Amino acid sequence: MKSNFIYVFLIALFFSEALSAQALTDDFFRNTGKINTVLAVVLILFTVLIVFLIRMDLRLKKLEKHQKDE
Amino acid sequence: MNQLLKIEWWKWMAILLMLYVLVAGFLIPLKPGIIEVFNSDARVAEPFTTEVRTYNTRLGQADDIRAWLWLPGDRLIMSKSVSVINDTYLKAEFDTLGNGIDVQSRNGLMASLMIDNSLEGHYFFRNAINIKSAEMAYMRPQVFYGLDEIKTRKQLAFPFQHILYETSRNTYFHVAIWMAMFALLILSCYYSIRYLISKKFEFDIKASSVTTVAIVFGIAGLLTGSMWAKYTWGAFWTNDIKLNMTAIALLVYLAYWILRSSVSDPDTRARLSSVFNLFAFAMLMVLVMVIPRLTDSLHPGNGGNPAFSSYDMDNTMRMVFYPAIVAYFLIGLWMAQLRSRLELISRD
Repeated sequence: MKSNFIYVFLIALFFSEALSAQALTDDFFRNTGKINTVLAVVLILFTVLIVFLIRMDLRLKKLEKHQKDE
Repeated sequence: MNQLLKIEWWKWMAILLMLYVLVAGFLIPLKPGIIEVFNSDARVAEPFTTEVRTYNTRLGQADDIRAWLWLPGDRLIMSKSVSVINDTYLKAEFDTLGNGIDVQSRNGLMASLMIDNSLEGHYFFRNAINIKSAEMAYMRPQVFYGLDEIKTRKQLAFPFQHILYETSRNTYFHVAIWMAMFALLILSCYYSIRYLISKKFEFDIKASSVTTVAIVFGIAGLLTGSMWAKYTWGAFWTNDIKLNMTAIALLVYLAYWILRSSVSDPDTRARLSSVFNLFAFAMLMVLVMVIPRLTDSLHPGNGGNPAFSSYDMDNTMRMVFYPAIVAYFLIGLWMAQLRSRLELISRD
């Protein structure tokens, strides 16, 4: 489900290149008042925070493994 | 449940503020506005008709819609008739424009188009119409109205801004995360100074954790800004001075990471990185806060672009924007705390 959404997101991103930035058109990021651009921004923010969490999780795992070995 | 209560109060505050920002930031509607005025050429001594596309309006439900030409000096010309095609589309007809519209330059006079009704208040498109002078002498005087004729309605809504439209909501995500980054970096400078004075490792670890989270926020700020720029300015990366300077500042902070990982002696590492942190912050202030103000920039608040003025941001936006900064700051603090606790354990 989630990967499907990311797919739609990326496809929309690449196909919207040719359109001008200002006009409100039917393209994914510009329709309904460009609200999907806000959605994209929030998703990027979440992704960055999640990546940080995953990295920290991995470091903690390493530490736990280290302690077990001792 | 008891476990949950053991979390510090400010973490709960972070969660609640974040929820508030997401809910209010998305649910409060935009004020009605005009997206497009299809005919921009008017001429004195000729009638003027245009079709108008609006946004977030309920034109079908309003029964006293009037269109206005808003001339310099706050003089208004009322429309003869307005026909509503649907909730967001109307056709406005003006009588023959009379004498008294003093078009002085050959390029014509710029007038704004305003629509008002008692249901929604008023909204306008700045400098939408160019009025040219009459081709031959025309003597019928024009009747003008004052701004007190215009209906206003108070509502809880964010300001409508042309081109930005709904993306002005990004203020609570993109702008707020930059502000939180600055706050975190100030905090990390405080810890670095504490380290340099007391030489306690704890402070060095805190400083580096907070800086790391701030850099993560900075990267998020660049990526979100890039996304926003694409659909408002037209490109993911423009040659805007603020963008380039921010990129340099982030590189300076990436050097901080490299510095920390390349020195193996803990004492030297702590001392070097504390001093570097202070210099990097000074550098950031100059690059991001000073230089962009000296030249032209697309960013509000730089090069003669007013930031957070009443035009860009009203009190409804501030109601969400300030809590958003606090929310990101607290979340950043939380992330940094987890990281420094991890570092402290791994040191033992």
